Amino acid sequence: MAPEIIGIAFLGLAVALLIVGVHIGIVLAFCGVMGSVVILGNFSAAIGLLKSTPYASISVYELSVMPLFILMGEFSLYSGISAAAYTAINSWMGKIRGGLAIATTWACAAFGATSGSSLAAASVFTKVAYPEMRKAGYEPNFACAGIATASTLAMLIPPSLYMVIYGVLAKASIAQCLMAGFLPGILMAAVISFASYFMVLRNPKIAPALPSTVSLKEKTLASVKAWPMILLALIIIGGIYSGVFTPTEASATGAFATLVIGVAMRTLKWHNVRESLMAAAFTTALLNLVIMGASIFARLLTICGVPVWLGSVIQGLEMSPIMVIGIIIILFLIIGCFIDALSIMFIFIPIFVPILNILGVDLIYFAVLATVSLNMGTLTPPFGLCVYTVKAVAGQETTVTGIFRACIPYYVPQLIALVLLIAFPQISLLLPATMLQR
Amino acid sequence: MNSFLKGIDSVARIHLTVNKWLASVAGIVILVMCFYTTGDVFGRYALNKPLPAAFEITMILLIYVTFFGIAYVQARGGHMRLEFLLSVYGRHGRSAVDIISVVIGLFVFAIITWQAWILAIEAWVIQERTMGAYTVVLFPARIGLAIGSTSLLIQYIIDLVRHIGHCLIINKASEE
Repeated sequence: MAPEIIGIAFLGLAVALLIVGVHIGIVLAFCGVMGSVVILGNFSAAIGLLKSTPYASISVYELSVMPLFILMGEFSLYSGISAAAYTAINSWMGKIRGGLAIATTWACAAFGATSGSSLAAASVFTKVAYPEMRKAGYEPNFACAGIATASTLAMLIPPSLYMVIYGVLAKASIAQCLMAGFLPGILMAAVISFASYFMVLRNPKIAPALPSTVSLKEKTLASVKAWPMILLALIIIGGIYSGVFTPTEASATGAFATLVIGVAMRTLKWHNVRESLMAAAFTTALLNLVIMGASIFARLLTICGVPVWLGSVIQGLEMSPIMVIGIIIILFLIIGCFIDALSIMFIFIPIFVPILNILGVDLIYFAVLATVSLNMGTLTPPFGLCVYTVKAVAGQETTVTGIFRACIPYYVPQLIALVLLIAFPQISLLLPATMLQR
Repeated sequence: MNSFLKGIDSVARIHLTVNKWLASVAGIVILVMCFYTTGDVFGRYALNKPLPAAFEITMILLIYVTFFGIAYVQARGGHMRLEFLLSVYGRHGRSAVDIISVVIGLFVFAIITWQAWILAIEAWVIQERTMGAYTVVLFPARIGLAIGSTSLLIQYIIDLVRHIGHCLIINKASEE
């Protein structure tokens, strides 16, 4: 039997076991090992693979970014940094129609500079912004849809967990992947803000106009109080862009600064630090186990030559790179409705990246497209995780169906932004191309 | 059967405590990684004297962060899986999927643990070191990997016995 067929067969077996609900990391490792046994014809190959890969796939310097960014996100959750940023942005935006929703969008973007998790952003801003929106008379489902949509920005603005994992799986520069998300994140924040504004213009009942009572002095004071968020953004984004820090150094310094700020402001207690450390250890362990499994499976695919074979098939079909990207994005948007984004990355990035390499597609550019399209899955039924998180925190006033329905108008601007990002790679590639140290 | 399962539950409780301690160590290691890397950056820019072997030590610490946490994640049922079909299964179906997960995990981690201990002993005997500007001994990391995977292996064995025991109890109850 041709090696490619064996590779495809084990890919099919892996997908079947994953759909059934078996643990992802274990399935990928198991299918990778068994496939290698079939291809190489002896069991010692399997033993060799399981002997070397666990250490080699985890003891990777770039991977250290992950626990440190997770730790930084956990510290910032407890330290109240996001609430100060929200108050500052809100004081400037409050007068605009739908100002609270717009302020939430930009506060989520700012929060994205301290945390790479959209679920964390969804949880924090439902606690911080939702009560304010309700007090101002916002329709509950619209308020929640705005928060859920804005929370996805955390996955684009550096530090982004998706970008780090993509960089590790695609063997692309993590620093470039992180920086590539910044301008698309700003673009997304802008289109989401416009969407909120026009939705309120069209239906004023969902967000009544607010009388502006905030003076210039109060606005300035609120902005000054948001200094921790600005400092952290400078450390992460400025540090990586200027080449002062590697992503690992930026994540460590950012986590350290967040810890110091939280302790100095007396918002971060000892039990919060303990919970943050446990949460960071827990998330890192579960993600790294999947990375180990994905590495073993990627070796099988390489041995079988599946990506090269698929690449040559696509070349034979004479499809342009943009068509292939379009097909992959549509696939991600569809599968993203049913499977969470990280699982999709772990399964498909090792398969697609060699194909994209053959077609000459820039992997940093694709990192942004993959992240944006997979992010949308967190807002679409039936498994939109951000929507469920917002609903869980918001409580009885809202319904899951109502929030999903209120999210629909937000899909259109996001799809428009995705098309813009596909059409203009410069938006994603400008910062990575001008970084001082790549 | 019930007394056997109670015995397993006590073993599971003891092992959960061990796993929790290991995960706590993993958390502390992340904090050490954070402090050491920050110290390295501060030393490099402020004192023109970076800390030694920050690159190598970070890679070694990652092994502890990962492998000291995986058994706790398994004990808490936290490993990543696609959940969209799980809700449509009955109790039997869910147990069957859990048993398949555990059996596959047991197979993979039995080999990993076996090989990890061989490598750890070899690394200890030959005093394996990293290559490069700084040479750091590698056997602590190899031993860390072996300890973590052994803990996960034990957790898989506990989970397998518990799942099978619960299935047998459910079957017996439905027969009665």
